[in-house]
Amino acid sequence: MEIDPFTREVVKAALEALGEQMFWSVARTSQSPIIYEVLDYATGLTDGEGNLITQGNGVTGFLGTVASAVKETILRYGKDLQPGDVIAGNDPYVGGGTHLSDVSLVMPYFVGGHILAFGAVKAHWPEVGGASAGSFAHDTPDIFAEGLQLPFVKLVEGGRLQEGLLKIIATNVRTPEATLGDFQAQWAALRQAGARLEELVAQYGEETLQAAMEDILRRGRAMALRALEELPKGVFQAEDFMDDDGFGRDPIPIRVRVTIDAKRFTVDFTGSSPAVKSSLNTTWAGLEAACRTAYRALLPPDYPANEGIFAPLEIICPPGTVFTAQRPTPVSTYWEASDHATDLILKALAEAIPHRLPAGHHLSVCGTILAGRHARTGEPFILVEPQAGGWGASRDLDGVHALVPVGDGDTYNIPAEVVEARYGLEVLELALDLRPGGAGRRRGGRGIRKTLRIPRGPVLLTATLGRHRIPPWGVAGGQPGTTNGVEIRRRDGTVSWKGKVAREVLDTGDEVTFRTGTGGGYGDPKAREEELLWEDLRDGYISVEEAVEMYGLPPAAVEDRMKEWGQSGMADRH
Amino acid sequence: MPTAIFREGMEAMRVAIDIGGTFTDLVALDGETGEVVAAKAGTTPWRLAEGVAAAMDHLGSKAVDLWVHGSTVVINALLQRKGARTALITTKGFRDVLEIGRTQRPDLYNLLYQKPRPFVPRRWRFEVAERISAAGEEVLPLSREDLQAALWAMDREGIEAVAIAFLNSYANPQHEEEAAQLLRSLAPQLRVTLSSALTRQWREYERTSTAVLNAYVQPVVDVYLRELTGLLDELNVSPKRYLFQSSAGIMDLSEAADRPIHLVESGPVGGVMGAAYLAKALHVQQAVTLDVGGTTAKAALILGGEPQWIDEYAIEKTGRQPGYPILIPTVDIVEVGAGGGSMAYRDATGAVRVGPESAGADPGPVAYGRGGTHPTVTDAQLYAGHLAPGPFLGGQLFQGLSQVEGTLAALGAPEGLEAKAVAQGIIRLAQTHMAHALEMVSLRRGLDPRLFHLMAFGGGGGLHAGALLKVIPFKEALIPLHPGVFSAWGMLTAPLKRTWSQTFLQPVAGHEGSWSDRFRTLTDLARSWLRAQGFGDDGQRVRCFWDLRYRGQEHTVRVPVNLGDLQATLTLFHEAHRRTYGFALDQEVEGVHLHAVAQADLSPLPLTPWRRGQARPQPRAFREVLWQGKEPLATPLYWREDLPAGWETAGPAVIEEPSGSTLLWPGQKLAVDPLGILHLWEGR
Repeated sequence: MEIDPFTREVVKAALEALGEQMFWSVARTSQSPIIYEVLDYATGLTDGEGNLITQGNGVTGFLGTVASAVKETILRYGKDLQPGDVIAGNDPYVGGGTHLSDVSLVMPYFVGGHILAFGAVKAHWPEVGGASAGSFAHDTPDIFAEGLQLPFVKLVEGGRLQEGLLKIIATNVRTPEATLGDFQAQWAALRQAGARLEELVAQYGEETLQAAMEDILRRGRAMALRALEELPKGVFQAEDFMDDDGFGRDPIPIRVRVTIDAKRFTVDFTGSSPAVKSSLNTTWAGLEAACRTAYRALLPPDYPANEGIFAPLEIICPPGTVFTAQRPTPVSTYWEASDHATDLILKALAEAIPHRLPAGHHLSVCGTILAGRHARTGEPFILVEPQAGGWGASRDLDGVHALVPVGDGDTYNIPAEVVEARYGLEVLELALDLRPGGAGRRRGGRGIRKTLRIPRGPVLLTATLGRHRIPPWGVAGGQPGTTNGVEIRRRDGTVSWKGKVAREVLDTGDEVTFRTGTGGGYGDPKAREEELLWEDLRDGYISVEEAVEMYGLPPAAVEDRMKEWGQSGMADRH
Repeated sequence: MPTAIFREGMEAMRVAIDIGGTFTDLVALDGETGEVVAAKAGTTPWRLAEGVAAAMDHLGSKAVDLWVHGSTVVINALLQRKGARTALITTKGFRDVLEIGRTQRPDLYNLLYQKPRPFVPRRWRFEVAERISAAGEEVLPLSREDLQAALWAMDREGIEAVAIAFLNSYANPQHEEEAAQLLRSLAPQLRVTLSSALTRQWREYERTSTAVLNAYVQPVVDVYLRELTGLLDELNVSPKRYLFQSSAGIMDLSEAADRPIHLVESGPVGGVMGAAYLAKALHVQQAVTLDVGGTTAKAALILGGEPQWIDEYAIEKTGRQPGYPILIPTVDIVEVGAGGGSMAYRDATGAVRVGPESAGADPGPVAYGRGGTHPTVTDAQLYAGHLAPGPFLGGQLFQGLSQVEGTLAALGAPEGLEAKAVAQGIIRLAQTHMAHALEMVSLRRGLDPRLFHLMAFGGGGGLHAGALLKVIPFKEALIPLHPGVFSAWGMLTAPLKRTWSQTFLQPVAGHEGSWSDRFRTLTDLARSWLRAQGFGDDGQRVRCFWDLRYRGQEHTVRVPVNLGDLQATLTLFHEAHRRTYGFALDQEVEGVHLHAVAQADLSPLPLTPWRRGQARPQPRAFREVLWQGKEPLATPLYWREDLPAGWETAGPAVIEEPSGSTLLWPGQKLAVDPLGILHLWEGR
């Protein structure tokens, strides 16, 4: 059916509004910070065949995975779906699965006896059981230790909650109330979207709606080739290393070969390391989302984000690598590998596409989990938080300080005052981390240092901070940035500095500092304009030593200026 | 037809002055005659008080009894970065909080995303040793040495204003107060803002940002208020002088000097206030407002005759930028980029779009003939006959429609649509965006539009209200008098208002006594403020609100509090949660923020009966107007001045007045009520 361009836009706007409503409804009713602050979830609407029509993203990493969950549902159930069904799946190896914590809920929307569309929510549940509180840690031996697996089962059948299944979930997770509360919130968002879709059918007719959805897909596909026109053609390569296999052994080699021609954007990861024994691996879905994120970042920001524009993207990677883990390889901290996949593509292209890409950044989600009892109330708590870090400089701009990495998005940190009141920990500082690094004509942005004191132990710390050994890369003569890590200061004065920690016991009075890296620099540091350096120095973004040694300011002049500016508050500790 | 309050025999003038981007509007109510006078003067951005003086010239020699002012002085100083040299003093270890912010990247796939730049550079952010715990207990005393050192540095740097924002000061402001006292005694010329004096809500970044922005504008506002005071003294304006706040209340000049950040959002809020006032007078409990201007349309919700408010606002916030948060009560307005100047174009995928880009005043619509090449909503309306070329274009020269026709046809070329269909399509798309804003404040909050009135104003409100009734089934649409200067009128109706907000985290059940005490502490503050303002203490003027959630949730739902019956308040919460999100839970409910709002009407604004109009008004002309369908209909044009109270008609019709027109669609009905307000509804 042909509809006029205005009606089409009116209906498209209504579908987008429906998607938006579904997205925010989940955040506003969720009971876990990983959803309401980190926005580690996505909502989507697909057509009856599982083609993505609109997707709401809080983070970059779910691009395309929602539609895969719908397609898996269609594959498994076909005609055995009825109105009111909700299918739940978290299998990382199929259906757009990433790790067990990310649970997809899929709901078919019926019109006149057939399925017009699907709604889907994929969200990081606060807890799905397994060996570690919070359900992710780098040292799990296999998928069975990572939590409860939901193999695309009907959690709701014809509107009737499957109480038995719900009881199994409640019994297998550490936070049954929050986990089931979040399920309720997501189910309600799916129902609301369904009700809204019915209204739209009543208002515009099914045919018009169908035509509008087809149009969205058609236009997306037409955009794909135009997108490639913008990009430089050729072969670009990069290699890098992940810190280790999770158990401190040698760095893990990874590589990519990007080929761009008029029709295809091919990324080939052949030659990357086999899967490792720890959970740092990703499955195909995580790799695909990672590649989509990098590809999307190369296009103008106002391009639509539906499936069509990804048509030219071709991904090559043999099975069984760190990027293509197979059952039952553990994957609970999959973002370490998937973010590295994104970063590799960016590294290969950074110099060739300087108006869109910066130098390397702290990259790791730096996921930290603290589990214990509230010092004042004695209530159990689990504080799950990603830590922001420094971004890379680009040809024209200094890197940005303290920003979430590429795998995150509209992701908020948790305020110190909330950490203190709600979790009973003491936050001693939240500051920029000024270790020397990231020098360049444009300098890398600074990471953070956040120090917590444990007022009442024991508190279990689990943290996975990648880029602990190998810092973010510089571009065009810019210096590498600095590394991420966890510093633990015991009451007896011993200090440790690690990238990965699993269920380490912190006692009363111990302090832990999460430190994230400075991003890579861009261009020769000696070429940085002198007036900018004086400003940097005055604001304390660079130290006297850096100004002299890396940037080449004359020591005598620096000393004079520092005197002129006085002592208090101007200079900073480093 | 609703009845209204009539009051006559007022003595002197009440005056409201609303500064906008282009014009400074004046609305005056003559207490003797009940006449409303509207006047305009050019806005003088370099010295706003000049425009105010020019507008006041229109009043002549009448005595001014009440003077209310909505000013852009604060938002201008912020947007143009023309505030004071401002410093920040924080708890040791936290001076970078202002720069770290909340660390989000809302522009997900833009890897060169730039964070908002802090208003206070790092060199002017100082740390002092001190510590208050989350429970409000002193852990480490305030270091006077650190404070002294910061003061020396500020002195050397020529700092004019300073914000103090300590960790956990929301729980106990003692250290902030001590520090302020010391600074004020040692440096009396320094303007000092305490974060805890502006809000007692948690989240250190947001509260620090609020304090910094207040400090940043304070010296600018001091100068402005001095100029205004001089001007008003000269004009013998009564001492009842007030400024209009983002919360749709007013405050006196000395409060404005202390808390200028409350002035940040004035114009659009004035209109919502006016609508709320009219709604009360008309006994309309629930309404949705629509304010259509040149670049945007704004929607707001009125429940129980009151505008709804949020306690966090941000300047410079967009879908891709978080902006700068401000924790002050602000009327909850949803804004979409669809106004008269919004341009229609094809996007990269070839789809037709309307807005958010606006042609603005320059080049303006294609019909101005000043180089505009994309047809705007105004162009489409001119071509469709919804608007007549004339005074509506703000005195702009009208260059004929042939060029408009050309751009419309060009836009429709890919599908071979003719200009008429394109014009209709553009108007419809703009209205879809407006409907989205209206739905966001009604349907999407679980409210049934059939129980709501739509109150439309602004230059374009009447042009779209009728069409929107066809999309969302509101009861009726109301078009007030003077829709073009309705914001200024609304300011005249505003009560004195102040809000106290406090974060306190605790379950409700089992702590009822503690909650009651906390509410009592807040209401005591509110009552003593009311007494200081010269109002009695009958308790009617203080209302409490409670932000509640299921334990574990982050976001809250706000409900009014019945202090005598907290259980009833809980029931309201479950209902509101179900209405908004489609479910309620049998889980523990937790309180997060308490609010007490004190408000007092200075004296009610009299609404005078509409005495104009002719017994049998005749159309002034007929115009070809394109409604639905391909062919235009010869449509009667009425002048609003000609229409008497009680008059009714059926569509199609166009009602014109100097500041806008109202479209009555075929099949719709219209009536003029005793106050002269136009009522539109779907004929059934």
